[in-house]
Amino acid sequence: MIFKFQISNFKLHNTGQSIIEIVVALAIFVLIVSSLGVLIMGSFSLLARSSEFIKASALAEEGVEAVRGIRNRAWNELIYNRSGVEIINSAWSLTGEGTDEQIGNFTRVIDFLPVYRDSTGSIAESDDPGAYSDPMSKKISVSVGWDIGGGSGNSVERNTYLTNWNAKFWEQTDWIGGSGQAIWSENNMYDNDDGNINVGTAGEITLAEIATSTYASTSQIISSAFNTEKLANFIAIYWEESLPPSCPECLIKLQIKTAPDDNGAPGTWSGTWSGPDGEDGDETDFFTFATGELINIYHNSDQWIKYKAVLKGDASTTPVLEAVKLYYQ
Amino acid sequence: MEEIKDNKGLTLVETVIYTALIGIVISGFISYSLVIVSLKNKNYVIEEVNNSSRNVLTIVSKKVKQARAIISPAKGATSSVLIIEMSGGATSSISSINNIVKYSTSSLTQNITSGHIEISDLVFNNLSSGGEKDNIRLTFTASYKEPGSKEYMYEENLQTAVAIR
Repeated sequence: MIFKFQISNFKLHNTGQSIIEIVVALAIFVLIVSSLGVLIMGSFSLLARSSEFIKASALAEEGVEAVRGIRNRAWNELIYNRSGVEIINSAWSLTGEGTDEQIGNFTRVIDFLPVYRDSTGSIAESDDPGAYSDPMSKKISVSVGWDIGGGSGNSVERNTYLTNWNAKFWEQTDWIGGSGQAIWSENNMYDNDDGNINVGTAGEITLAEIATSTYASTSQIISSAFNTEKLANFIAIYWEESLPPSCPECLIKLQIKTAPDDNGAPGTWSGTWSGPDGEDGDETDFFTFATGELINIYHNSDQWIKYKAVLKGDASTTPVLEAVKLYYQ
Repeated sequence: MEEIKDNKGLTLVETVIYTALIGIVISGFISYSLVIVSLKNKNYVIEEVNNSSRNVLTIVSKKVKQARAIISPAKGATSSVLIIEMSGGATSSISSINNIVKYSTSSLTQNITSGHIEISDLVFNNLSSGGEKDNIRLTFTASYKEPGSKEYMYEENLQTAVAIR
């Protein structure tokens, strides 16, 4: 009886407790193991992601520096809103409007945003009063994106402002010395005009007064040829003008011609007077923004430059051209 | 007597179940530990590669930005050694010696990357010409040095560029 009691006692004790113990123990074990597993996998994927971030940041930096390299060579190549970069002849260049790059798993997009300035020269919003687009400044935004699976992605972005601060310029502010100077030496002379121009006041070009208070309606003047003394990239053209407010049709517009060097004299000039479209076989396009416009890359690597200014009035009043400034690198 | 029979039968079944359960649990535990250990190694390897790559990237761009001029590679050329002239006139160089990237000045030589990491195909390309400022493009491959097994194999290809200021 004692033996039997002991066995049955042991049996009762043993069976019930053991199964619950195992189930509970297993459950706890599985819980701990799976949460630890999630934790470890999480830290692992975090680390893998950090190497993606290192690579992407390096690529974004490369984009910024590539554009900086292009800036140092020829600012007027930066004419696109969005472009990839590539290496041509051991130099960075842009691949063209709307392009981006695929580098391994990464997609690099470089956006070029206009920079607006107010009358004091500070950077302003585009809709601020008096804000104008500064052609010598650009905001560069480089974004490197990659897919991390599950339809979602990651990206790294680098932004910078680039300005063309180290460009040289040729400026003419006075034409009082008159015409007849084909090659620039006197800084107040020019090559020729059509006779309807008045340069008698220092620092001003106006339409000629053909009768009392009656002005010629249109006229043009062609400058002397300026020698940059090196293979130059002509970047931008600026001028100062004052247009009478009472004359909505008054305007001043400019065109340029460039030439390579020929033993210290200008070689063959561009076939036609060109505006922002470059040498395109016609003379219909003009630079019209006195606050500055980029010159087409067609004119890069020439050495000589001259400009033609066209003044238009309404016969009773005249626009005034006060200075012309041409930037080159 | 019936109860004793019951008891013996149950004990046997129990033993079988216990053994099976313990077997499953232990084998699960062992494989789990193995996975954790290999993940730990892999983590270590990735972190080492990342650290060394980041060091190379930041030190090269910092030094080039501070430099007055780039002596090697010449404009338009490619080289495995970067020699820069610092603003004081002293020169220093960055190159890969025995797959470890070193920064040397006239007085000291410093390792930039860890000895566990192999930096191969370190190439500096000077993408500029004429009177322009030097623009250095840098490409390299960073990998773990002793690829004993899969968990020790990790490799990254990196590229960046930097222009002198």
